[in-house]
Amino acid sequence: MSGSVSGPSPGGKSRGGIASKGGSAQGTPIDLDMTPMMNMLIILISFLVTMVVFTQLAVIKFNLPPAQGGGTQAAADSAAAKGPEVDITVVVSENGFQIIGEGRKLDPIPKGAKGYDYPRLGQFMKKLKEEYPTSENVVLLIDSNIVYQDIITSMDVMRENKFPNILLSGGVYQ
Amino acid sequence: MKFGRKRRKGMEEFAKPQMTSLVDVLTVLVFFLLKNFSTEGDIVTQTKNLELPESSSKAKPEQMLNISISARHILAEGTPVALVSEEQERGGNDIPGLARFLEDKRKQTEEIAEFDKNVSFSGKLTIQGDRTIPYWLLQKVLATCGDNGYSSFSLAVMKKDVD
Repeated sequence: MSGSVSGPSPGGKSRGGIASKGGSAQGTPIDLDMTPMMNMLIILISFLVTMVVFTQLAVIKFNLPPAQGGGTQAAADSAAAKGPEVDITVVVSENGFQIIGEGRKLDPIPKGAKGYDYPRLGQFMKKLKEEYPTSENVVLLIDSNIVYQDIITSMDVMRENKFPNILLSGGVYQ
Repeated sequence: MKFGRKRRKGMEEFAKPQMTSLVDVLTVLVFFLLKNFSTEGDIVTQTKNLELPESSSKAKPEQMLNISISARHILAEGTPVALVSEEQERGGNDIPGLARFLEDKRKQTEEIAEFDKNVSFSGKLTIQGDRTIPYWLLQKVLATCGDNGYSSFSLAVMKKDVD
Protein backbone atom coordinates (compact mmCIF):
# COMPACT_ATOMS: atom_id res chain seq x y z
CA MET A 1 0.00 0.00 0.00
CA SER A 2 2.52 2.51 1.16
CA GLY A 3 4.76 1.83 -1.82
CA SER A 4 2.15 2.73 -4.32
CA VAL A 5 1.47 6.01 -2.59
CA SER A 6 5.07 7.12 -2.28
CA GLY A 7 6.17 5.91 -5.71
CA PRO A 8 6.25 8.23 -8.70
CA SER A 9 2.93 8.40 -10.41
CA PRO A 10 3.25 7.66 -14.14
CA GLY A 11 1.75 10.90 -15.29
CA GLY A 12 3.23 13.85 -13.47
CA LYS A 13 6.10 13.13 -11.14
CA SER A 14 8.33 11.16 -13.45
CA ARG A 15 8.76 14.12 -15.72
CA GLY A 16 11.83 15.22 -13.91
CA GLY A 17 13.37 11.76 -14.21
CA ILE A 18 14.73 9.66 -17.07
CA ALA A 19 11.97 10.53 -19.50
CA SER A 20 12.98 14.13 -19.69
CA LYS A 21 16.19 13.14 -21.44
CA GLY A 22 14.14 11.85 -24.33
CA GLY A 23 13.24 15.42 -25.17
CA SER A 24 10.23 15.96 -27.36
CA ALA A 25 9.02 12.33 -27.14
CA GLN A 26 7.96 12.96 -23.59
CA GLY A 27 4.45 14.32 -24.15
CA THR A 28 3.40 12.08 -27.04
CA PRO A 29 1.48 8.89 -26.30
CA ILE A 30 3.28 5.58 -26.77
CA ASP A 31 2.26 4.02 -30.03
CA LEU A 32 2.70 0.39 -30.97
CA ASP A 33 4.94 -0.64 -33.79
CA MET A 34 2.39 -2.08 -36.18
CA THR A 35 4.82 -2.92 -38.95
CA PRO A 36 5.38 -6.64 -38.22
CA MET A 37 1.69 -7.19 -37.68
CA MET A 38 0.88 -5.46 -40.94
CA ASN A 39 3.47 -7.54 -42.74
CA MET A 40 1.99 -10.70 -41.36
CA LEU A 41 -1.58 -9.74 -42.17
CA ILE A 42 -0.71 -8.79 -45.72
CA ILE A 43 1.14 -12.04 -46.31
CA LEU A 44 -1.74 -13.99 -44.78
CA ILE A 45 -4.27 -12.21 -46.96
CA SER A 46 -2.34 -12.78 -50.15
CA PHE A 47 -1.99 -16.44 -49.23
CA LEU A 48 -5.69 -16.82 -48.50
CA VAL A 49 -6.71 -14.94 -51.61
CA THR A 50 -4.68 -17.28 -53.79
CA MET A 51 -6.15 -20.33 -52.11
CA VAL A 52 -9.75 -19.24 -51.93
CA VAL A 53 -12.29 -21.27 -53.85
CA PHE A 54 -14.94 -19.05 -55.29
CA THR A 55 -17.14 -21.70 -56.81
CA GLN A 56 -18.43 -24.02 -54.18
CA LEU A 57 -18.95 -27.49 -55.54
CA ALA A 58 -21.61 -29.86 -54.41
CA VAL A 59 -23.02 -33.11 -55.71
CA ILE A 60 -26.42 -34.70 -56.18
CA LYS A 61 -26.32 -38.37 -55.43
CA PHE A 62 -28.52 -40.86 -57.12
CA ASN A 63 -28.35 -44.55 -57.83
CA LEU A 64 -29.34 -46.83 -60.61
CA PRO A 65 -30.66 -50.17 -59.50
CA PRO A 66 -27.78 -52.64 -59.92
CA ALA A 67 -29.67 -54.60 -62.55
CA GLN A 68 -27.34 -55.50 -65.40
CA GLY A 69 -28.06 -54.66 -68.96
CA GLY A 70 -30.63 -52.01 -68.17
CA GLY A 71 -30.49 -48.40 -69.04
CA THR A 72 -32.40 -45.66 -67.33
CA GLN A 73 -35.65 -46.91 -68.77
CA ALA A 74 -35.14 -50.21 -67.00
CA ALA A 75 -34.43 -48.28 -63.83
CA ALA A 76 -37.82 -46.69 -63.98
CA ASP A 77 -39.52 -50.00 -64.74
CA SER A 78 -37.97 -51.84 -61.83
CA ALA A 79 -38.85 -48.99 -59.51
CA ALA A 80 -42.43 -49.07 -60.69
CA ALA A 81 -42.59 -52.82 -60.09
CA LYS A 82 -41.26 -52.43 -56.57
CA GLY A 83 -43.26 -51.72 -53.43
CA PRO A 84 -46.83 -50.65 -52.86
CA GLU A 85 -45.90 -46.97 -52.78
CA VAL A 86 -47.70 -44.53 -54.97
CA ASP A 87 -45.59 -43.85 -57.94
CA ILE A 88 -45.55 -40.34 -59.05
CA THR A 89 -44.22 -39.57 -62.46
CA VAL A 90 -43.33 -36.10 -63.55
CA VAL A 91 -43.07 -35.69 -67.27
CA VAL A 92 -40.65 -32.98 -68.27
CA SER A 93 -41.25 -32.04 -71.87
CA GLU A 94 -40.54 -28.99 -73.94
CA ASN A 95 -44.04 -27.69 -73.25
CA GLY A 96 -43.79 -27.91 -69.49
CA PHE A 97 -44.48 -30.37 -66.71
CA GLN A 98 -47.19 -32.97 -66.35
CA ILE A 99 -47.63 -34.93 -63.17
CA ILE A 100 -49.03 -38.42 -63.48
CA GLY A 101 -49.76 -40.47 -60.41
CA GLU A 102 -51.65 -43.72 -59.94
CA GLY A 103 -53.18 -43.55 -63.36
CA ARG A 104 -54.60 -40.08 -63.00
CA LYS A 105 -53.24 -36.98 -64.57
CA LEU A 106 -52.97 -33.70 -62.83
CA ASP A 107 -53.29 -30.42 -64.66
CA PRO A 108 -50.31 -29.76 -66.89
CA ILE A 109 -47.97 -27.01 -65.84
CA PRO A 110 -47.18 -25.08 -68.99
CA LYS A 111 -43.88 -23.39 -69.61
CA GLY A 112 -43.98 -19.69 -68.84
CA ALA A 113 -42.29 -16.88 -70.68
CA LYS A 114 -39.17 -17.28 -68.55
CA GLY A 115 -38.90 -21.05 -68.95
CA TYR A 116 -40.25 -23.72 -66.67
CA ASP A 117 -42.67 -22.88 -63.89
CA TYR A 118 -40.76 -24.41 -60.98
CA PRO A 119 -42.70 -22.70 -58.17
CA ARG A 120 -45.93 -24.16 -59.54
CA LEU A 121 -44.37 -27.62 -59.76
CA GLY A 122 -43.24 -27.15 -56.18
CA GLN A 123 -46.81 -26.39 -55.08
CA PHE A 124 -48.12 -29.51 -56.80
CA MET A 125 -45.43 -31.69 -55.24
CA LYS A 126 -46.15 -30.24 -51.82
CA LYS A 127 -49.82 -31.09 -52.20
CA LEU A 128 -48.91 -34.61 -53.27
CA LYS A 129 -46.62 -34.97 -50.28
CA GLU A 130 -49.50 -33.99 -48.01
CA GLU A 131 -51.72 -36.56 -49.67
CA TYR A 132 -49.14 -39.35 -49.59
CA PRO A 133 -46.76 -38.57 -46.75
CA THR A 134 -45.00 -41.93 -46.89
CA SER A 135 -44.22 -41.77 -50.56
CA GLU A 136 -40.63 -40.86 -51.33
CA ASN A 137 -40.15 -42.01 -54.89
CA VAL A 138 -40.65 -39.96 -57.93
CA VAL A 139 -39.83 -40.72 -61.52
CA LEU A 140 -38.74 -37.98 -63.82
CA LEU A 141 -39.71 -38.77 -67.36
CA ILE A 142 -37.57 -36.50 -69.41
CA ASP A 143 -37.81 -35.58 -73.05
CA SER A 144 -34.56 -36.20 -74.89
CA ASN A 145 -33.87 -32.56 -75.68
CA ILE A 146 -34.31 -31.16 -72.20
CA VAL A 147 -31.25 -29.27 -71.04
CA TYR A 148 -29.21 -30.54 -68.08
CA GLN A 149 -29.77 -27.41 -65.99
CA ASP A 150 -33.54 -27.94 -66.19
CA ILE A 151 -33.16 -31.56 -65.12
CA ILE A 152 -31.07 -30.54 -62.12
CA THR A 153 -33.52 -27.82 -61.12
CA SER A 154 -36.45 -30.23 -61.43
CA MET A 155 -34.57 -32.67 -59.22
CA ASP A 156 -34.01 -29.84 -56.75
CA VAL A 157 -37.73 -29.13 -56.63
CA MET A 158 -38.41 -32.82 -55.93
CA ARG A 159 -35.84 -32.90 -53.17
CA GLU A 160 -37.07 -29.70 -51.59
CA ASN A 161 -40.54 -31.21 -51.37
CA LYS A 162 -39.23 -34.33 -49.64
CA PHE A 163 -39.19 -36.76 -52.50
CA PRO A 164 -35.55 -37.79 -52.13
CA ASN A 165 -35.60 -40.90 -54.28
CA ILE A 166 -35.49 -39.60 -57.78
CA LEU A 167 -35.30 -41.85 -60.80
CA LEU A 168 -34.57 -40.61 -64.24
CA SER A 169 -36.30 -42.05 -67.21
CA GLY A 170 -36.47 -41.15 -70.83
CA GLY A 171 -37.12 -42.27 -74.32
CA VAL A 172 -40.86 -41.80 -74.18
CA TYR A 173 -41.12 -39.51 -77.09
CA GLN A 174 -38.77 -41.34 -79.39
CA MET B 1 22.24 27.24 -35.52
CA LYS B 2 19.24 28.06 -33.46
CA PHE B 3 16.98 28.05 -36.41
CA GLY B 4 18.35 24.76 -37.61
CA ARG B 5 17.85 23.12 -34.24
CA LYS B 6 14.27 24.19 -34.09
CA ARG B 7 13.77 22.84 -37.51
CA ARG B 8 15.28 19.51 -36.60
CA LYS B 9 13.07 19.23 -33.56
CA GLY B 10 10.08 19.70 -35.81
CA MET B 11 11.33 17.01 -38.18
CA GLU B 12 11.66 14.46 -35.40
CA GLU B 13 7.91 14.37 -35.04
CA PHE B 14 7.51 12.92 -38.50
CA ALA B 15 4.05 12.34 -39.88
CA LYS B 16 2.66 8.95 -38.93
CA PRO B 17 -0.05 7.40 -41.07
CA GLN B 18 -3.15 6.37 -39.19
CA MET B 19 -2.78 2.61 -39.19
CA THR B 20 -5.77 1.71 -37.04
CA SER B 21 -8.45 1.75 -39.73
CA LEU B 22 -6.20 -0.12 -42.13
CA VAL B 23 -5.52 -2.79 -39.54
CA ASP B 24 -9.25 -3.03 -38.86
CA VAL B 25 -10.00 -3.60 -42.52
CA LEU B 26 -7.23 -6.14 -42.90
CA THR B 27 -8.32 -8.05 -39.83
CA VAL B 28 -11.89 -8.25 -41.05
CA LEU B 29 -10.62 -9.42 -44.43
CA VAL B 30 -8.47 -12.08 -42.80
CA PHE B 31 -11.42 -13.42 -40.82
CA PHE B 32 -13.63 -13.41 -43.88
CA LEU B 33 -11.08 -15.33 -45.92
CA LEU B 34 -10.39 -17.76 -43.11
CA LYS B 35 -14.09 -18.50 -42.92
CA ASN B 36 -14.25 -19.20 -46.63
CA PHE B 37 -11.06 -21.18 -46.59
CA SER B 38 -11.54 -24.86 -47.13
CA THR B 39 -8.73 -27.12 -46.12
CA GLU B 40 -10.08 -29.94 -48.20
CA GLY B 41 -8.67 -28.59 -51.42
CA ASP B 42 -10.11 -29.58 -54.74
CA ILE B 43 -11.56 -33.04 -54.52
CA VAL B 44 -13.22 -32.72 -57.86
CA THR B 45 -10.96 -31.22 -60.47
CA GLN B 46 -13.10 -29.00 -62.55
CA THR B 47 -12.88 -29.53 -66.25
CA LYS B 48 -12.27 -26.53 -68.44
CA ASN B 49 -14.82 -25.32 -70.97
CA LEU B 50 -17.58 -26.65 -68.85
CA GLU B 51 -20.16 -24.80 -66.85
CA LEU B 52 -21.77 -26.89 -64.17
CA PRO B 53 -25.47 -26.43 -63.47
CA GLU B 54 -26.60 -24.72 -60.31
CA SER B 55 -28.39 -26.59 -57.60
CA SER B 56 -29.53 -26.19 -54.02
CA SER B 57 -27.90 -29.48 -53.06
CA LYS B 58 -25.44 -29.34 -50.20
CA ALA B 59 -23.90 -32.81 -50.36
CA LYS B 60 -20.13 -32.71 -50.39
CA PRO B 61 -18.19 -34.19 -53.27
CA GLU B 62 -15.97 -37.19 -52.70
CA GLN B 63 -12.95 -38.47 -54.48
CA MET B 64 -13.96 -40.93 -57.17
CA LEU B 65 -13.78 -41.66 -60.87
CA ASN B 66 -14.66 -38.63 -62.88
CA ILE B 67 -16.61 -38.45 -66.13
CA SER B 68 -17.05 -35.06 -67.78
CA ILE B 69 -19.56 -34.28 -70.47
CA SER B 70 -18.95 -31.05 -72.30
CA ALA B 71 -20.82 -29.80 -75.32
CA ARG B 72 -18.33 -31.55 -77.63
CA HIS B 73 -16.49 -34.29 -75.83
CA ILE B 74 -16.95 -36.95 -73.24
CA LEU B 75 -13.92 -37.14 -71.00
CA ALA B 76 -13.03 -39.91 -68.61
CA GLU B 77 -10.52 -38.83 -65.99
CA GLY B 78 -9.44 -36.00 -68.25
CA THR B 79 -8.84 -38.04 -71.38
CA PRO B 80 -11.33 -37.77 -74.22
CA VAL B 81 -13.11 -41.06 -74.91
CA ALA B 82 -15.89 -40.01 -77.25
CA LEU B 83 -17.13 -37.19 -79.41
CA VAL B 84 -20.64 -35.98 -78.83
CA SER B 85 -21.35 -35.48 -82.53
CA GLU B 86 -20.40 -39.08 -83.30
CA GLU B 87 -22.56 -40.40 -80.50
CA GLN B 88 -25.50 -38.41 -81.77
CA GLU B 89 -25.15 -40.04 -85.17
CA ARG B 90 -24.77 -43.50 -83.73
CA GLY B 91 -27.86 -43.39 -81.57
CA GLY B 92 -28.65 -46.20 -79.21
CA ASN B 93 -27.74 -46.23 -75.56
CA ASP B 94 -24.13 -47.30 -75.70
CA ILE B 95 -20.90 -45.31 -75.89
CA PRO B 96 -18.17 -47.77 -76.92
CA GLY B 97 -15.22 -45.54 -76.03
CA LEU B 98 -16.53 -44.84 -72.56
CA ALA B 99 -17.56 -48.46 -72.07
CA ARG B 100 -14.02 -49.61 -72.89
CA PHE B 101 -12.54 -47.18 -70.42
CA LEU B 102 -14.95 -48.13 -67.65
CA GLU B 103 -14.39 -51.83 -68.20
CA ASP B 104 -10.63 -51.38 -68.00
CA LYS B 105 -10.96 -49.39 -64.83
CA ARG B 106 -13.26 -51.93 -63.26
CA LYS B 107 -10.98 -54.83 -64.13
CA GLN B 108 -8.04 -52.92 -62.77
CA THR B 109 -9.80 -52.24 -59.49
CA GLU B 110 -10.97 -55.80 -59.19
CA GLU B 111 -7.46 -57.10 -59.81
CA ILE B 112 -6.10 -54.85 -57.10
CA ALA B 113 -8.95 -55.91 -54.83
CA GLU B 114 -7.77 -59.52 -55.06
CA PHE B 115 -4.53 -58.58 -53.38
CA ASP B 116 -5.61 -55.74 -51.16
CA LYS B 117 -8.58 -56.08 -48.87
CA ASN B 118 -8.87 -52.35 -48.45
CA VAL B 119 -9.71 -51.86 -52.09
CA SER B 120 -13.09 -52.83 -53.39
CA PHE B 121 -15.06 -51.99 -56.47
CA SER B 122 -17.72 -49.55 -55.39
CA GLY B 123 -19.14 -48.50 -58.74
CA LYS B 124 -19.06 -44.84 -57.84
CA LEU B 125 -18.75 -42.09 -60.39
CA THR B 126 -18.79 -38.35 -60.42
CA ILE B 127 -20.43 -36.88 -63.47
CA GLN B 128 -19.66 -33.33 -64.45
CA GLY B 129 -22.02 -32.21 -67.13
CA ASP B 130 -22.21 -28.87 -68.85
CA ARG B 131 -25.46 -27.12 -68.07
CA THR B 132 -26.45 -27.05 -71.72
CA ILE B 133 -26.14 -30.73 -72.59
CA PRO B 134 -29.38 -32.41 -73.66
CA TYR B 135 -30.92 -35.28 -71.76
CA TRP B 136 -30.29 -37.95 -74.39
CA LEU B 137 -26.56 -37.44 -73.92
CA LEU B 138 -26.79 -37.75 -70.16
CA GLN B 139 -28.98 -40.80 -70.54
CA LYS B 140 -26.45 -42.42 -72.83
CA VAL B 141 -23.64 -41.83 -70.39
CA LEU B 142 -25.68 -43.08 -67.44
CA ALA B 143 -26.79 -46.15 -69.37
CA THR B 144 -23.23 -46.96 -70.43
CA CYS B 145 -22.00 -46.57 -66.86
CA GLY B 146 -24.86 -48.69 -65.57
CA ASP B 147 -24.09 -51.43 -68.06
CA ASN B 148 -20.51 -51.52 -66.87
CA GLY B 149 -21.35 -51.92 -63.23
CA TYR B 150 -21.17 -48.30 -62.17
CA SER B 151 -24.49 -47.51 -60.60
CA SER B 152 -23.81 -44.94 -57.91
CA PHE B 153 -23.60 -41.48 -59.36
CA SER B 154 -22.78 -38.09 -58.03
CA LEU B 155 -23.80 -35.31 -60.33
CA ALA B 156 -21.44 -32.42 -59.79
CA VAL B 157 -23.19 -29.09 -59.44
CA MET B 158 -22.40 -25.60 -58.31
CA LYS B 159 -23.89 -24.46 -55.06
CA LYS B 160 -26.53 -21.86 -55.59
CA ASP B 161 -26.39 -18.89 -53.27
CA VAL B 162 -29.56 -19.39 -51.29
CA ASP B 163 -30.05 -16.46 -48.93
